[in-house]
Amino acid sequence: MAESSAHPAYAVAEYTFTLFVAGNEFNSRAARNNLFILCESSLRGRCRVEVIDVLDDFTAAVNHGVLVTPTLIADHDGRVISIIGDLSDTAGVRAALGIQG
Amino acid sequence: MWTQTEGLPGNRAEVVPIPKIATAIRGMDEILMGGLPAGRITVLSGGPGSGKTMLVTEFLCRGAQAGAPGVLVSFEERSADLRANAGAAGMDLAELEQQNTLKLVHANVPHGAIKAGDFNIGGLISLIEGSLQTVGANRIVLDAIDVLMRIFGDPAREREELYTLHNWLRDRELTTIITVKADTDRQQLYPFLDYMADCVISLDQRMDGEVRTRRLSITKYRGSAFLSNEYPYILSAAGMVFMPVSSVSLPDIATAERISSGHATLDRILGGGYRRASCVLLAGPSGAGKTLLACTFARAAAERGEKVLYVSFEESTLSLIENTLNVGIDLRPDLEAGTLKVLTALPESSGVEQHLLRMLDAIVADDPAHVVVDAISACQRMGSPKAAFDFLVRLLTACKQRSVTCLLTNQTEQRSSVNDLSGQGISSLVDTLVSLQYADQGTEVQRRLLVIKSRGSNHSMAYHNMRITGQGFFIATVPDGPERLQEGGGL
Repeated sequence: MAESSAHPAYAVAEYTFTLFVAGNEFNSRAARNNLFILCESSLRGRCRVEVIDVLDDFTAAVNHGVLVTPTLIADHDGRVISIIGDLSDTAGVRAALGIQG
Repeated sequence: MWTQTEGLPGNRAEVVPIPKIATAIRGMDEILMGGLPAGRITVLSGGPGSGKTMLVTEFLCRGAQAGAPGVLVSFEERSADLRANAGAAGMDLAELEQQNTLKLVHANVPHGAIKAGDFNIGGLISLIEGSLQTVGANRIVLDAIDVLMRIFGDPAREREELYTLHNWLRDRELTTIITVKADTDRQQLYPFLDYMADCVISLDQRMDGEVRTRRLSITKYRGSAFLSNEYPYILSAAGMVFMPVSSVSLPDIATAERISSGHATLDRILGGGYRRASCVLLAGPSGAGKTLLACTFARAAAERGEKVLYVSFEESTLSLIENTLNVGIDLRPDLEAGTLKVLTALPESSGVEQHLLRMLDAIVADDPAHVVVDAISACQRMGSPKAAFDFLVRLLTACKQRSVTCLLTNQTEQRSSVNDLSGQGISSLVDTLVSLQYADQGTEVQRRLLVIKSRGSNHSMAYHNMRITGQGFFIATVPDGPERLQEGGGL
């Protein structure tokens, strides 16, 4: 169940996020929620998000070598940033992604 | 002796064995009494270079070759390195991957990733499931799990995640090996893993003298008996080889058939010759006639059509032929006929396990009735007295199991005690002990022969003069020699 909340107005998004989750585990639910809040609050219209549930799509975990969930792969200005965890450390996430404020 | 598990002591009869999966690694299934527990988890620990990865690779490789696919998830080594290392041990992983019976996964632990909150190993479980499905496997290896666990940086979280992993693997009934590093005290990094696992194996390597020795031991095997000692192993060019000393019962020497020593007088002195499948030791100083007696025996056996393997630590085949020709023994026809085979070895050339493997290979390949080792005193040069003892005990045990006669020579000092004569501490394994020595007769030295012991035989207790000529050797009885054996039967 790959969700996609692409914003068609931007052909090339400033941030491309791929979030790997494991079903409805507590950590995974928290990570989806935290990422949604981040996008809505600070990156409205500037990001593309794809959520991959590794319990549904085993090949995704194999192909991307995802060992821990949640894992967020962020592509920003050609730079790939890996963040693991439920993204509850919002200050840490913002700092890693270079989001001001 | 490698795969045989029957013939175990009767007191194991109450154990109802759990289903097992043979590893097909040489010697290992005998130690495990059949193999690893099927559908369960085995923890394999060991220090760097102990061969953990080689063992698990061979397990999967042998399985894949036999039609049981497997997955190797490595948290440390890259797949290309695994292929190269396995190739050096004669395993072609790429071929198995092409046949879709083996899948290698390099699980790249994201140590550089930013941590922002709690996470778990859900990804790994999915990755394992996906990999298993691609090859249809139900056996899996997780190599160097400690590398993954370090990412949690919290012992409590590591423990929780290992429990999660363990439960998932058990629910899926996967035959699993998890490898984990051991520190210098041979303590593995996650002791609680040993409690969870059904089978716990540790590998250890240490220096013994100047020779590296590797040992395997099993500390736990739920629902199964196992051989509980430490077992040496080597990483050979054809995979790993374990050297179990089996508990198979030894044949009764005292009732075994008599075989000629090759010399009628010596046969009479021995009380009828040697016993088949017994261990005979000829001890004496250099030049006392040990090799002569050994070759006389070998010659006579070959004459009867019985194969002899002659292991020479002292001489090349050529010099052995020449030296025995000087005393009237021609080994060449037997060598040409193949009834006699000479295996020469320089003791220093390799460690005990390599020597032992080479000899056991020759014994299995040629199936000789008799093995001559000339001389066991050279075995000390394999590393240490302990190494020599290990080597001999294992060789003798293997020979007894196959009902092969062992005739050993041992070079001793002129004035040796009886215990020194038997050599390298193996006296209890020696059935017949013949001492060859020089006696000072004033103007000349006289060679003498004494049968110190010969189990199950009414042998002569007297010293016998011996003369060596170009036509062989001659033995005479000393009618009233004063030198009865002083030490007196304390063997």
